[in-house]
Amino acid sequence: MKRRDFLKYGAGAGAAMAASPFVAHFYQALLDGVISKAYAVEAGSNARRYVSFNFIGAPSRFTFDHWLKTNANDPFTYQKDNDANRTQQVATTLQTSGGMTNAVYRVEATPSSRGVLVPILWQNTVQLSSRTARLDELLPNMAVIRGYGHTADGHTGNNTLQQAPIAGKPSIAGAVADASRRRLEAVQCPNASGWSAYASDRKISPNVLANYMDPVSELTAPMRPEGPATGRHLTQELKDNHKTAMELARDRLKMHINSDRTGTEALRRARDNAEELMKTAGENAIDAWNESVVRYETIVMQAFRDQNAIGFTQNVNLTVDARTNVDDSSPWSIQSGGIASLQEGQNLLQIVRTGVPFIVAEMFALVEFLLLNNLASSIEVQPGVGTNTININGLTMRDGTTPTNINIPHDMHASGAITTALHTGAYWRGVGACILELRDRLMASNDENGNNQWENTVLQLMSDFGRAPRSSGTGSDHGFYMMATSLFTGAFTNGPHVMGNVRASGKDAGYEGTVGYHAPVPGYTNDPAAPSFMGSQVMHIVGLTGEANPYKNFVAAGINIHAGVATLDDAIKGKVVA
Amino acid sequence: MKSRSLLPLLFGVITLSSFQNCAQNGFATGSDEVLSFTESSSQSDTNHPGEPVPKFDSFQEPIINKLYISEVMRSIFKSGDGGVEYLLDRWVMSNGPNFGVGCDLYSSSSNAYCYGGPSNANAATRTNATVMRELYRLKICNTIIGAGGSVASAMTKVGLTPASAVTPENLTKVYNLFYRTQDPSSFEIETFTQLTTSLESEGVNRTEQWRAVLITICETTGWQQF
Repeated sequence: MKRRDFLKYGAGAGAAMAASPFVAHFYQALLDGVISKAYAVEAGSNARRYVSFNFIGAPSRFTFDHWLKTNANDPFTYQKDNDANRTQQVATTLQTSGGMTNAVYRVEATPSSRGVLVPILWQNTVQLSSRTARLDELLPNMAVIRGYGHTADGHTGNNTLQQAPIAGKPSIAGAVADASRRRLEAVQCPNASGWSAYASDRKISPNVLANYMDPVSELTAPMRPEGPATGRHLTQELKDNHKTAMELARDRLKMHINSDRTGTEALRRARDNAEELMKTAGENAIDAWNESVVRYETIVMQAFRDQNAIGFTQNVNLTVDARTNVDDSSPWSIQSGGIASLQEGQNLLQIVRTGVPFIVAEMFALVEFLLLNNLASSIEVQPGVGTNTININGLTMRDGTTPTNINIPHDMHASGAITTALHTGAYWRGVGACILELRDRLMASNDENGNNQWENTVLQLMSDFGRAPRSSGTGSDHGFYMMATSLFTGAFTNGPHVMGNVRASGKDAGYEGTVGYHAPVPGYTNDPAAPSFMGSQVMHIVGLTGEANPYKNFVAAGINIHAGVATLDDAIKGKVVA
Repeated sequence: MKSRSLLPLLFGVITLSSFQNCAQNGFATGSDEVLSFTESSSQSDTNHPGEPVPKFDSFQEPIINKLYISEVMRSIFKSGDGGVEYLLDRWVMSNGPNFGVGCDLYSSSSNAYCYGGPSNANAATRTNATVMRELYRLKICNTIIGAGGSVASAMTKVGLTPASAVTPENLTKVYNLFYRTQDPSSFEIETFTQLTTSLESEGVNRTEQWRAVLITICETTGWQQF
């Protein structure tokens, strides 16, 4: 007997007595039981929740997580003859030297770094909602993958490779969604449209929250019931007052309509999840969202605007140098569409004093909301909309004007070494503080399976590629041959880990010195190590190993996590090679 | 009812539920039958050892976009007032990324849907099923059909009135408002009949019985499938 025929005839018996409240409720109890069972089985997935923070446009990350020298013995070649008085676009700090302010590459181990050299930014203290904390608290939970890349330029193409390293295979976020059994499975905010490389084996589509300023309202607005005041409450009234009859009809049709068509299952699954969410009516969601946005805004702004940040502003004269032609690219120039022509004599601390990191607080608040409510397993967010990173007011231009809302884009070609070190240092301090706040919140909570939320979550910070620093210190270009990404998770506590090799020498003239140029990884045939090298390691950190790792046949993973300890194969441990 | 007479019915319900849950019926966040299907399909391919067999445990087929959904709702429920257009704007047209079809940057009326940036202009013309989409679709069904005049508007479209009798013929006409190329099965007719009979016995008037039929049809997923 075909299933549809069975439904037609076999259901007759059940339908005939459905008017009986007892039977109808019994029937509903059966359905509820199946739902509970399915949820319990599926919630047992081994995959951790995955969140990608995709900084579209590829901001410079040398001050933060694009690490070039992590061992004291690593060879390191300064751009242009190791001249300390020259600016370096790979700067991790600012120093005053002989009356001229310079950016220099300087790395230091911190107490939490287990001997791994990390940029000085990590020594900064930030104010969280409940405590002050040093950024290097994150290091035991951190891994950096670097020295991989691609041979062709292009923002979207390379960003695609970061999200989906192997064509035809699920993207990283899609693979996690495939293993997800949570209501929303996959979420994307804002609408990534042309920047999205999301792909899923189970054909799970991401739920798009386009309103990046208020995504939780966008999510919960349809959950709120229509009251009598709206004049559109009559269906709700029927459902409330005649629950048994209405739900029985709904459930019978749910099982039946188009049940033998192949696309019905995905639609029905989406509807079932939507109905379950409707029942929650988005209770307290808006209040929680408003509180968390304000909280993250406070945190990111305090960290960003810190006038005494270690390594960036203390004892540094940031007055635009009169000897520099600020009309052209220079270490003092700043990207704003084209090149902002800064006035000689002005103090660049204005960037830090008035700067506003764009859509950072909102994205962290959304991630916190989705994770703490166990709503999604795979989350893709884009801090900064489009390629905007920081808004600044009051910078004085060459012509004496002080325009409002200068935007520094992530694709910061024309930001020179000094301004880059300054504003990226501030930006990543803010981002790092938000990660710490999110970690605090997750550590204090368990998910529906009883797992600690922080141990069960992986954050990945990615962008199109690394930035290729110009030896002249006048800005940077597309580092598609020198990519880097970082991951933060409570799944291990013995970090930081560094994977992937870089060369001590640069790519070619104009990009000299240790800039992060890729180097071969022993046992891996690709040179450069391809984005799939990164993807395979991320899969293991997320917990998708063996058959669940879609990239395993292309690049074996060299990191394994057991009982809170990550172990790396020697081959993938990061080195600087001559 | 004596327990002896209840037993056959109980058997019918249990058997029905069991049968349904062995098929491709997703419950909640995916379904256990999906899992079992996935496991049974994971066989090794001797030509490509180690490479898992692709798992097509669910399949997305074309579903209608925001323009199509709006047109269906508009054609059924718009009766001269601006309420339907407002609701369609609020719950469907503004949600291009989940329903398909982006905002129009050059239209003043749709600029608000772009959320201050051009990214929504680039939304795909067609999307797949998502929870967000279904949240908003259920909302548009409930807000439009929940309004007082919606039943009369719908019934008029098929030559009926809110006072029309609930017959298989009339139910088919109403069903075809949403399912334009598909008649209801006898099972569906039976379901609607049973629904209105139950409501009748609970004192619900004919207009509200039709409202119950309309919302039940609107909330089904099938009319979104081409």
